[in-house]
Amino acid sequence: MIPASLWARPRSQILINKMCLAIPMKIKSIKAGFAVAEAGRFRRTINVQLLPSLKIGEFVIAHAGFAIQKIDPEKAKESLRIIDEIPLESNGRKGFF
Amino acid sequence: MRYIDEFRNKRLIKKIAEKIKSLAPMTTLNIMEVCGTHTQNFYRFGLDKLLPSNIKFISGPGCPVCVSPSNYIDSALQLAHNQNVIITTFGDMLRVPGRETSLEKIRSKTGNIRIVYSALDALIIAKQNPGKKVVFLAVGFETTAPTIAQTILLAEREKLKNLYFYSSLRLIPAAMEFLLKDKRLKISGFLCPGHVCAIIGTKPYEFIPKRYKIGCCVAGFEPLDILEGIYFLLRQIVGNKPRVQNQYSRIVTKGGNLRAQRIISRVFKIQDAYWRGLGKIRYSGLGIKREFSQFDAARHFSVSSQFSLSGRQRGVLSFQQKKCRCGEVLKGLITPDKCALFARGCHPDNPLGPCMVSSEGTCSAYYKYRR
Repeated sequence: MIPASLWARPRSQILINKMCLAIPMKIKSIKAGFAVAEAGRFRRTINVQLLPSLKIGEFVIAHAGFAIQKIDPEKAKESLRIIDEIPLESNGRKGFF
Repeated sequence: MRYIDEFRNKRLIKKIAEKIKSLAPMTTLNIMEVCGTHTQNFYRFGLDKLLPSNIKFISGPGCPVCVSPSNYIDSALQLAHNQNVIITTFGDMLRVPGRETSLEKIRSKTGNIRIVYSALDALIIAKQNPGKKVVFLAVGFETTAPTIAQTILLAEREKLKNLYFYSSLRLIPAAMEFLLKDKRLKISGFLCPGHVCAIIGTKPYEFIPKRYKIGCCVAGFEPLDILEGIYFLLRQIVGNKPRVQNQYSRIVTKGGNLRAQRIISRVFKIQDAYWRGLGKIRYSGLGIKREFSQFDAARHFSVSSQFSLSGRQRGVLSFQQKKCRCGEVLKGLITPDKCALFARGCHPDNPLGPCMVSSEGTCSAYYKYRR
């Protein structure tokens, strides 16, 4: 049931030492509740049972070996767009500090 | 899009920092970032240098390692002395001081403490060592809870008889409510933890603007996420319209991950819990339900699942630990440099208090980036 690739896999010191870290990963393949996911050149098998309707090619946030939530590409673009478009509101106290 | 570099875009960072400067009022504002990763990234990316000095950032109790009571560590140490047991734990937990020593210090002596990245690793170790009892130190918040619950379900399906979980899981909204009841705190807004909200959604925070009239913004962890979150909070403060806003909408929804929530409530029950530095908080912890008691280390090894310091135990605390002001740091009442031990005896290589242990601890972040 637990895929063999979980047994022998690259160990990253950064990932091991920071338990709260959750990183964006791209889903490469899915099989029986587990998926091979990629972040840059880093590849590992993660459990995807918390996200029932996951598809190959989608991005997830992975935390402690589990995909905990999907990333919505539209919303990501939107939040970047909002930053670009916020008008500069001045309260007349520029250079205060 | 890789969802990292785009949110570290220098041009946009400068732009939003300018906007924050132009929007910030003259009065001192205290914004509490609840999550330890926010604290760490805030200093790591030097965001404090970009913002007006009258916006103060207070670190909340959002580091699971820091808030685990010393009794929990002591019980784990007690388990580690049993040669029939293999302790599996996240790396951060190793250096947390108990009353006398830490897991790291006894590791070379006992040889049965292993660092894992995931609860699934503990499951694999249990399969590989059928003759040993494997105990996983289940520490974390709502982000980690479903991963542990799912592992328990997998262990049940695989009929594993030698895997146990020692739960010290905590719930964030309960702790925030506890903080809000403290009259000494003067908080203008909360930067809520993005990955906790990925699981629980934004709904559990709605009582804060409603009852306490304090604004909340769920924010991600990249520099632009943090700055945009602060900008949204400032707009709420300036406009005096406190509400729960969601900056991290690419991951966080209002309802959160419902499947993860279902799995949590299937395996865990909500119970009172002790937080280091804060004391007992009602309904702020997760304990393993009776149906899954075969995986509950507290029951199997009869170690305590309720942690508090009795008067006698308090007396055993070393002189230095008594001087530790992590409790006040966790509440955001003082900054780490106000503690007499900070950088004078207490540093990341030899932490005396829990906030210095984890890289996400407030004192540790301060030591590394601000000292």
